[in-house]
Formats: sequence, C-alpha cells, structure tokens
Amino acid sequence: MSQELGSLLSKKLKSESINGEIINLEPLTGGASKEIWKFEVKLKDKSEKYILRRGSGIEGPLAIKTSDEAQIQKTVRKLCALVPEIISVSSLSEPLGDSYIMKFVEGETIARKILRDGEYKNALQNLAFECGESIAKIHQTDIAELSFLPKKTVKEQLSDLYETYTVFNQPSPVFEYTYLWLKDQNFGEIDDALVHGDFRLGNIIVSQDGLQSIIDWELAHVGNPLQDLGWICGNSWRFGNTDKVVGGFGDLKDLLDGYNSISEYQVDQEIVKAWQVFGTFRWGVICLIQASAHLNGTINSVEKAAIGRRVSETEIDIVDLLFLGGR
Amino acid sequence: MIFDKPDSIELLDAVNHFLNEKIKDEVPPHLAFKLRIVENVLNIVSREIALGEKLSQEVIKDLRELIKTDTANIKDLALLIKKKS
Repeated sequence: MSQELGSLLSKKLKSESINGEIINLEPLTGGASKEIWKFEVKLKDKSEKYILRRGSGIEGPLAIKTSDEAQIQKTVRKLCALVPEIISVSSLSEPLGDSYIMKFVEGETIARKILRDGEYKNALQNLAFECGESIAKIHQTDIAELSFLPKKTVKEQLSDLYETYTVFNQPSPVFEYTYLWLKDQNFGEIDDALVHGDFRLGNIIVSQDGLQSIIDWELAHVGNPLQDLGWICGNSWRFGNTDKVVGGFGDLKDLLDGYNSISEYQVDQEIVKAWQVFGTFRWGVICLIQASAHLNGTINSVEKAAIGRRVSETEIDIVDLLFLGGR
Repeated sequence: MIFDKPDSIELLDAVNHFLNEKIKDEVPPHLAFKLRIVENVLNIVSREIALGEKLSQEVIKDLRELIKTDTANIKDLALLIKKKS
C-alpha cells in the first residue's frame, strides 16, 4: 500500500514543482478518523519532511472535508497564527483522494508525553498563555474567505447535540438536565468568528520552546468563538491532571490573559464555565457518535468501541461542575 | 460456577500480561497507541465483571428511593427531568 501511496505523492508533488524521491514513508498515530503519513522528499543536497493528511471525503455529522481544512490553514496562516504551511491540496476526485500535504513541524502531539516527559517542563509554564494568544488570533480570521464553512449559532448547536443524543436511545438523566441548564446560560455577546472546534493537547504541536503549531481543523465552523476557550478546559482534555484546568497543564487566568492580550472582546471566567459545560456535553455526544460508528457496523474499531465508555466520564464531569463545586 | 478455573477475570489478566510482556515492544509505533487502548478495554471488561452487578443494584436502589416507584430505571429519571422543561 505504501509503495502505491508513494508514487501518488510523487506525482502530486511534481505538479507543485517539487521533484524528488519519496523516502521514509510511514503512518503516524492520528485521530480516530483520519490517515496521517509522514514522509521525506530527497532533493539534490538535502531532504524535506512532509505530512500527508487524508480523509474519507465524506463530511461527518460534525466534521468538514479534509481539503477544506487545508483552505482554513492557508487563511489562518496569513494572520501569522501558528499553522503548518500547506504545500498541496487534493480533492476527492483526484487519485490521492480528499487530502492535503503540509510541511512537517518538529515537536510532540501526544498529550501523555507532553505532560509527563520532563523535557517539556519549561514549555508547559507558558503554554496556557500561548494557547490563549493563538486562539484569539484564530478568532480574528476573516470569515468572508471561509464561506464554505458551516455556520452554527449556540442555539442550533445545542439542539443539534440534543437531537443527536436522542437518536441513540440511551437516555441520560445528566444530559437531560444539562440541556435544560445550557438553554438558560449566557454565552457572551461576541461577533461570529472562525471556531477551531477541537483546540486541545493532541491537536497542537508542542516543542521544548513552547507552542509550535495548531493542527486538526476537522471540527472547524463559524459561530461564537468563545467555545474554543471552554473546550480546552474540559476535564476530558486534562489527561488525568485534573487540578490543571487548562488542558492538564495551565491555569484559567493565564489562558484568559493570553486571549485578552490579543482580543478586543475581553473574556471573564464566568462565561468560560458555561462553555466548559457546553464542551463537556458536546464531547459526550461526540463519544456517542463515535461509538455508534462501531456499533452499527460502519467500521470495526476497538478505538471507537472503547470511546462509548467515555460518555459516563462526561456525565460525572458535568455533575462535578454544576453541583459539587468542580472547576 | 459451571466453568473451570481460571475465571473470566483471570483469563483477561493472562491476555493483558501477554500483551504487555511479549507484544508491546514488537509492534510498530503507530500501533503502540492502539495496543494501549486494547489493554484499557480489557481492564474495563475486568472491572465490569468484578463490580458491575453490585453497582447496578446500588444505582437501582437509589433510583427507586429517589423517584419512589418499584420499577424505576435510568430511563424513567431521564424522562422525569425532560418533562420539567
């Protein structure tokens, strides 16, 4: 398979005037829904590292096309936000399928390694502030250039999530209560913006020097951007470091200081809590969606099967936030 | 118990031990992460066998006290909350 892929890559890169032998093509552990390959192109006196990100070409209930992700990265890059440089984009009808090639960025994405390996200790000190800055920059993207993106109000997202949960016929007292609670919340009066939709460890590249790049844009949409701030504070994304509210590594104050240093709209902590509950509910429903892909036979995947058992984690996290004084 | 030893938890432990001791270092990096998931899944199943029945009984008992019916289940509580909207 990788030999055939190599020749497809070689042809595609030739069309971008990059001529060289494809070497060291290897699959990387990626998200549950995308293929990710790392490879090098051997040039005259050096070799360049690249990443191929390849999707199924099908838009999921929440996910956009892979080639559209590339368009977002190109647009965001104009603002000097940290995203890998896109080299080539392929549509579903081309031999390479719905995919894109970007420059390889040195660093680590695996949360467990970033949080536990001593070598990132210094980088973690300032990471919450850097994430806040980056999220604010993303929110300044000109959405007129991204007209293909779905636009979703908070209300629409909430009723979509609730309807999706209902379809799976797995009644949850906590989700019923959460839906009622969320309908009454203030999510902040802020202009619509580009929302990354999945900004957290796993989808950012971190080196010893700090934040390097923001990847995995498949849940991007246009809407209330404060969603990104609550999402990274969800307990599901603290990877066991529950006392560090921001992604298992930082404090909320640092994240908001970073955000407010760039953004005109100044965010306060209360609004983040509503978004944190929203995000936890959203992740719970995404877990249901992922598990159902295994259960209904679309794909046989131990990863997707296992994620079904994470729904109850989001329930306990919401109970903690709403009733037990959790942060 | 009609089955011989080892029981199901002991069998799962044996599989987990095998994966950890013999397989983990043999798989390529992109599968190492999936192997961890497999190990976690086996642990979930072990815990459910050990504690599942007891936890279910406790939850049902609490539910029946909470909504004061003899047949209460989680679905009933979800519906009660939904009706409040």
